[in-house]
Amino acid sequence: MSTTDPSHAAALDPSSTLASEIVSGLAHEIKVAIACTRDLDHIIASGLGSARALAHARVRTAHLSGTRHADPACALAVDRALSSALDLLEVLTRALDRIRFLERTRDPSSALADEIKLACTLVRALASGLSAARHVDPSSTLPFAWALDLTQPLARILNLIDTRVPSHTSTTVRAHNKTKRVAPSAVSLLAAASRLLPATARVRFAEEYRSELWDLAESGAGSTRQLWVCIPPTLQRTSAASSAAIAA
Amino acid sequence: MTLPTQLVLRAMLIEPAQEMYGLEICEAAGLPSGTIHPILARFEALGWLESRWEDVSPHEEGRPRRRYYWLTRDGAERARIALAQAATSVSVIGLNTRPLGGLA
Repeated sequence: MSTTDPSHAAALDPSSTLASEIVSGLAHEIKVAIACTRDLDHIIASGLGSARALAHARVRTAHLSGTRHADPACALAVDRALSSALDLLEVLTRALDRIRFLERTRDPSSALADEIKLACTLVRALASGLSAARHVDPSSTLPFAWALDLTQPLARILNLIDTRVPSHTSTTVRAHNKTKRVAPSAVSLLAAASRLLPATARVRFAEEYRSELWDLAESGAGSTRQLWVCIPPTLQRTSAASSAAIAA
Repeated sequence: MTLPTQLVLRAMLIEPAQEMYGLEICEAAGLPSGTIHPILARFEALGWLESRWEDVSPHEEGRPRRRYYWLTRDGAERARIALAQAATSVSVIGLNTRPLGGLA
């Protein structure tokens, strides 16, 4: 009989089981957030907040359980994956906070559509960053794949929100995006991407990223192109697949 | 070797001795910045690439410094060998091969 006994597998690799629980917990909280799409504030304040709090709690639990001591390599990889997911949640929360601010201060129909697109891009960008990170450290493939999975429900949240917002964007906003300046969204995106690089090279790459964005902006590239240049092809495929799934 | 990795090596082998900064490599390889930097970091750690900061003052120039990369002699040879070994799978997926510069 070749059937694998789950309890036996868990006993063999407790740290993998713990990591799986962490990711499952996060995924559950995100599903709760998706169920709350009728209320944007609820998503921001409750769904993502709970997911973040849960992630912190699970990371603490992982440390306290001695998993790191039992299997340092695996625990470190899991921590890195979770750290990336937490970075994403922070970026996402900031983007959504900005949506709420713009809703109060500007024309909601144009500002909301614009900022939601930015938030979607940031979510997808992290997916690509995680994918790129696997090139740097192939030994962490599994945790990064889990973290990558986490970004997909987050992207679905934003896409669901997007469907509730008028699709038109004002010409004023579009013209603003074409001004010659480094797009703050691109800076945020690349800052997130640089956090996925080896710690020893992080500062250096952050400066390189700034230099490249400056060159792009100087050449007249708008914020959309600046963002797009930062996004690997894998993300574009993920984005297309996600949109197709939602449309279906 | 992944396809993006091959594209980066291929772009840098066009003129192996020429220094290229990140955006130039992006354009030559047809890949975005977020993809090429992890690849460059890996090859630099392996000794295939070397790099240096542009010798300018960001304050005076009013812009950030660029980081220039170039293949080492050994790295260029290793890159050619690696690409040759990957050529079969590259041809299977239909990538157009470009002539490599340098010592050929």
